[in-house]
Amino acid sequence: MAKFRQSVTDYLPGTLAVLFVAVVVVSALMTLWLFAYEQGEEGMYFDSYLQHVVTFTLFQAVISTLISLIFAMFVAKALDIVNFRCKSFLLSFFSVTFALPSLVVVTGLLSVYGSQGMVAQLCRYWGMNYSFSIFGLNGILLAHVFFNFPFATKVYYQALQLIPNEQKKLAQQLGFNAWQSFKYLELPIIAKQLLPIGGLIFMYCFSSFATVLTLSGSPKYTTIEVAIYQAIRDFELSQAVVLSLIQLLFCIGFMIILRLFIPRHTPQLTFNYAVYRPQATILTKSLASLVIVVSGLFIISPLFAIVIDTIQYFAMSFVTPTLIRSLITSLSVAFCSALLAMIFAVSILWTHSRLRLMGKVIVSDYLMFLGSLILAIPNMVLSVGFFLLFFNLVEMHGFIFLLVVLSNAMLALPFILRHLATPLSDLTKRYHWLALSLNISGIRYLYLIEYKALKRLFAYSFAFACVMSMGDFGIIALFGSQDFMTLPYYLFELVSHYRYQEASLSALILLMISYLLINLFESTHHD
Amino acid sequence: MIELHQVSYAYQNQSMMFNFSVAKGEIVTLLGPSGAGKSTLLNIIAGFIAPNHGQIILNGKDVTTTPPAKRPVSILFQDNNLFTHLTVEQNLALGISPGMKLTPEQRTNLHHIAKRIGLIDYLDKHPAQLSGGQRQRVAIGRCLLIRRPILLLDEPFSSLDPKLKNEMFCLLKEIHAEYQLTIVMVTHQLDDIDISHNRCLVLIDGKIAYDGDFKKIQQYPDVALHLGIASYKINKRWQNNS
Repeated sequence: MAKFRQSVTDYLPGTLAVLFVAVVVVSALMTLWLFAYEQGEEGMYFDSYLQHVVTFTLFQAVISTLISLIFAMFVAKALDIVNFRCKSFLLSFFSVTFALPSLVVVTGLLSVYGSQGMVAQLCRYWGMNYSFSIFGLNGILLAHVFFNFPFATKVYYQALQLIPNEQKKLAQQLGFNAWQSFKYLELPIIAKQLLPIGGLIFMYCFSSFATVLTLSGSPKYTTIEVAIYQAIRDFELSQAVVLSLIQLLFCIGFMIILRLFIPRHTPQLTFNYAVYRPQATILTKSLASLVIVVSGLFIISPLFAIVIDTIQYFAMSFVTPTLIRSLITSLSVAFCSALLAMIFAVSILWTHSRLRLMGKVIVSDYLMFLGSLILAIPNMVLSVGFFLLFFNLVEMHGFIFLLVVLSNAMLALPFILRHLATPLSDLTKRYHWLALSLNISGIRYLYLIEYKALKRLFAYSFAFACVMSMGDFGIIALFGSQDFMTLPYYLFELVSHYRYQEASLSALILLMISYLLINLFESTHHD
Repeated sequence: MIELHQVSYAYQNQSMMFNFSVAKGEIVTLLGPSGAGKSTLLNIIAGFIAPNHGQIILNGKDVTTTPPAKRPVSILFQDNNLFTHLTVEQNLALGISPGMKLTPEQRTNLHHIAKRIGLIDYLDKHPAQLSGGQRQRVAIGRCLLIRRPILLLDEPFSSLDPKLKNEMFCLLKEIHAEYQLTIVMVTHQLDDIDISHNRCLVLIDGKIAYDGDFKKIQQYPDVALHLGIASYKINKRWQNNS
């Protein structure tokens, strides 16, 4: 292999960032291990309750994932068949639910399906009996599908748009029936795109915390994450450690299994200048339209309900100093975490793209793996690690802020890495040698080439990280208090005290900020 | 045999009108600047686009409303002719039956064609493992397996290097004679074929501006200018005449 000119500045940023991430993660984990060790065998038991929790966590995650994926396949196909005017507007909601703070969604779902909700009112109006209870398994599944199915739909729909026009025409000419078209054109895409998404959704549901905490209704329906949280709140720390380890093992196991499912021969996807749509029959079109209307209602109604509730019940007394204080805290946490995550991501990718350019693919893959390490470690495990590590410092105000910022930045990092990796490495491939010959390097390279070329994508990643950090209700659930409150924490307090009308205002604020941030910067280029 | 009677199609402020016929076994080259409607015309003949008005007759049958699979037409695109997750053999088999279940007879036929296109040793390879020329040969093979008398080619060899392109044209000529195909080919590159021996249709702004021998195009400076072949000589002669 050719020996390329290399310099230490190519490797330093990524190495430092990855080292930092690794140290933080490992020290949090080590604290857990040590603690478990010190506790001795007393804490190590796997009783029937624990068994039940693990089974339920797995069960609800599998069902939620399956429902989300199956719905996504139908709705994406329907969207592919019918073209209508407000499609991109509808799709803008599809991309938002995944990043939406869970408590916002829970509030919205309560206003639609709760015992005082819109559906209940409609039923009463028509004299029907409304017996659906949103608490328990129903609500958990409903919420998980609501989060994930639109996201999967959007990803799959976008992939369908990338099937080469020529192949759709060939399918027609070769006389494929519906099943054969599905098998030859779409199934490979499902294998390539939807399965990894399915894995992501599964992990999401498996590690679901805030949703389950608010909607479970009884201890029967508890996930491992919630059990960890409860153990900590009850100061049963050894129990928490056992649970954390179980959660960690499962997550790492899933990540390994997921890697096995990557298909070897992938379908060709291209950007079609104008997407070709074969003529559909009236029946197909009406069915597709029906599917779109129903799914649109499902997605938009909870969000809409939040708006309606806020307007209907609004009172100035809802705007408490606590609300404003927590809003400001949330915004600052979001901004700082996103900034930190961006710095980490850009540093890692700087080295990553240069390593790839030199042909060191394996090393660069390891770098990315370390950067995404946090994906394998559940939110709550990290939080517990921090909690134990800094148990004595929990009372300190500024320190908690730092801790929340840091952990949120780490959680957002894998997503930003995924957004930016391919574009940045393409950019490096194209301009690295040219930049060297023009003596553009360091910060100037970052600004002139990376930032100028990918401004929109940078902005979108930043916004995405902001939304993720702002809505997070993991670590703050442990560290939050009356003195240090983020908006989701405040929302949780309101919901758990059944102050739904007041809660809808906070939810609306979170919803609006999330929607605006995601859609203002959503770039038209998708990987 | 292809006949288009007053076939019109309008799309984004461009209206097109086609009125011509191609005899059985004829090779016609379709020329014209980008956006003139060459690919649209092929799509109309193949049935991917429904015209607003007019009548399309293929091999004596009115197919104006017939779906693509029922028309006696196969088509070859510039790329994406193959399904990349399927093997060469599977891609060829799709030409015989979309369910890919072949009788022993059909399988023999498939192997015969694979030999004919020189890819018998590549049957279990995936398209990504083939060169660009090999991929297009698989696609041609499949067109032969469908056994349809009309072959439409949409810039099929533009992405191949000159040597490969020549080989492909030789193969095309051979199968044209062997299977008595009626061929309509869109091209940008005028050196693509020994164009001079073929009948050419020149499309400009959705209308057929010229129909005839390639050599004589130069006598029509307007058309020649559009194609970028108004040579120095012609210009000069033109100037002298005027």
